[in-house]
Amino acid sequence: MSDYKIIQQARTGKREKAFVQLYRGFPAVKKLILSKGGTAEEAEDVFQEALIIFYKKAIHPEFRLTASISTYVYSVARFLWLDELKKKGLKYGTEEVENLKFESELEEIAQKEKKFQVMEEALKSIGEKCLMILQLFYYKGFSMKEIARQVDLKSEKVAKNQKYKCLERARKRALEVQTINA
Amino acid sequence: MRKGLQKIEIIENYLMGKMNTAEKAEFEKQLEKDFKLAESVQLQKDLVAGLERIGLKKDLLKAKRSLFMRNVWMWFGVALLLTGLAFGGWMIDRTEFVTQSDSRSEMNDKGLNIKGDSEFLMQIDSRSEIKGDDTAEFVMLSDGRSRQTVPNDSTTQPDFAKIPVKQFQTFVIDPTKANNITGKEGTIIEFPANAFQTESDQEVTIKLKEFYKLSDIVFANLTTQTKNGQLIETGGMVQIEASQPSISKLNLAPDKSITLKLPCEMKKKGMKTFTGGKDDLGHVVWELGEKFESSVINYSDSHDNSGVNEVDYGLMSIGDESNRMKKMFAKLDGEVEDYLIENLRIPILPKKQLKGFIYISFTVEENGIVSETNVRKAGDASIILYDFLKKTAKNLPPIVPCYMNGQYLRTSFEIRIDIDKSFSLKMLGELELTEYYEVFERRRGQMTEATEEDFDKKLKQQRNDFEDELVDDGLNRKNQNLKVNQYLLTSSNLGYINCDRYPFATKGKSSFNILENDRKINCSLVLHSVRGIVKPRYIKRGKYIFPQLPNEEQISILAFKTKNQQNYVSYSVTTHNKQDHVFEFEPLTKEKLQQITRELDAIKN
Repeated sequence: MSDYKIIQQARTGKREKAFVQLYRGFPAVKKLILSKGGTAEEAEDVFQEALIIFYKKAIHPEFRLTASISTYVYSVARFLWLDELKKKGLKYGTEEVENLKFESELEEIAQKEKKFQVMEEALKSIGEKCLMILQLFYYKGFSMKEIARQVDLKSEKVAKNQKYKCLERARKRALEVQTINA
Repeated sequence: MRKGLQKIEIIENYLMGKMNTAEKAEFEKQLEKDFKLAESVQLQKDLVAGLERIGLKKDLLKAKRSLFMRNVWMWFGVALLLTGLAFGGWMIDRTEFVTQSDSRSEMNDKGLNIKGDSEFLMQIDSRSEIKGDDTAEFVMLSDGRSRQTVPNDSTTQPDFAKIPVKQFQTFVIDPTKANNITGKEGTIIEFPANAFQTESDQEVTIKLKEFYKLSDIVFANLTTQTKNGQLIETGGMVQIEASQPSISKLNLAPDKSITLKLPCEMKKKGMKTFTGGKDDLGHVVWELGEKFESSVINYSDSHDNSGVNEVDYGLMSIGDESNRMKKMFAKLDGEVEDYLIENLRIPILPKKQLKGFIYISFTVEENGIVSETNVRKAGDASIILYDFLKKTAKNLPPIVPCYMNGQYLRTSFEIRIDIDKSFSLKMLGELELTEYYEVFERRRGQMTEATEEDFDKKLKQQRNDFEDELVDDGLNRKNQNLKVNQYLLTSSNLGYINCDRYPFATKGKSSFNILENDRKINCSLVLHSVRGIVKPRYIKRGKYIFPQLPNEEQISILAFKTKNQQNYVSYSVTTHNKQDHVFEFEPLTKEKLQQITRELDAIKN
């Protein structure tokens, strides 16, 4: 499947189809990470992170692909992993220092994602039902009516109220987690 | 809506572009001034990004699975071509991925069939109870659909497998006096004076069989099923017959009942008297105590009086029929209320005194199971309390059903519970976080910072405690045991008496099938988690069907058959995982029988 088509899928809400195609790039990334001292698990984390970054960029209407997707994802993954190693105080030879064109941009993005990871952590602790409500609303874009039905709440109004309560809870947890991390 | 929530809503509207230009301009102006607000907006924005991450990760996982499955199918195809099924199965087993796909089970199915278990196709003959060589009594087991059998000690068919069953123990008593008899296995039966329906003062012979061990119950061809095929859990069974020289079968006098004490290792809650009768197939099936009086009564025992007080519903001494309903209502009111108070857990004690009343309506089915529970509130009953009451009321234990004109009736009730009267409630943990937060916030407004911190700590502790308790509860529900080692029952009938309860449903039920073309096999399933034994409800299309068996239940399958005068037995232990089972017969030997007996009796439940 062409890269163009994958990006089209990602932009038109056929996320899962796009992801299936994108996931084919995993073996290459895995090989890379393993060769640089990572484990299979770490490889998967890094790869997924790279895919998320790529996806978020790709759905942006102004995004233009300058290399093939697989190269892009591979480069991002490599950047993330080297960054990780740097933090651990490890270096892998000088040849790794070669500059990526979008390195500075990537650094910023990666930084942001780190922050969102903290949010992710906080959100995972607010209870399954709460998370589901928020997910349905913010990620899946369901209407409150539909959400009320799915989560088995009496009415749209109840669901809406519940949503805000869940958000409130998430905010509290996020602040807690932030303090712990800080 | 609360103020805090309103703020969140406004931020959300801003972030989602739901504000009009004027509102937006106004809000942005505030943002510039109010650093805290700006931070708050950022946090909410980040949270939404976090939500997106969670969603994306889930989708990625799905993508991974689906890609993996595509590969598996491809590999599977290749493997199939190359070396056939066995290799394919190996490939799948070797992979580290756990998938949701059916492919795995399909292959396993095939694998099973290749092994083949079809060599066991034999015949059986029908059940009959026979008298053994000298003194021992024997029973032949099978599922004799054609020949109904009545326990009859005089038939002899010595060629069949002989499975020793219980012998009657005999006691001779003077019917004009109160008598206690004690069986070999510890059953105590108390007969009041003039207990029997007889004019004569001649001495009465009591014959008793006790069935406590699983092997005893199975080999006597007994089950723990109700007339409708519902599974019950037994705490022990007895068979009592009474006779006088002039009357071969004595009944109890209409106004008399006997008291039974059945020994047990650990007492389980909710045991009631069930009496046995024969169904079409000649199996003994059970019915909840035939009369009201013959139910479990409050326990008080000399071993242990430490406040053990079991409440059993609907138990009452009866007057005439017309009074019965009234009394039942009164009784139920009180007992249901007690139950609710005892079992209700609410997250926090509302400061305001509770008022109002709540109506609870429910239906008691013929078998005592409570259904159609509904709670409605009147007055200004606290919403929180109401919600928790609703949850608690949904778990009402079985109630002895209404009995009129010789049969049990499905009856609906509505009872009123006054809240201010009795609900000075225990304050424990939380069930629904949001509700908890609501109260929490309300209380918080009234506190200083110092107490607030303290309060937080306490709540946290309570929450943990409560979660622990919930876990404990989950375990206990299955096995609600009290430290008393007897069941106390009353019965106004002789014959088969069974001390049973309806077990708590846990993981859902589905039917368990055994593939077998021979229709004459006598088989029983012995459950491991509850003390229960069931027989197939239907035999059709080459299947022995046990409907409504708890999923994931560990079961022992025991079957007997006879072919060419040779006896065979099949015994296996498996888990009910919705897969069909097959018998594995082998010749019945004394050693094998002893081994099965040992294995059955080793099941602890």
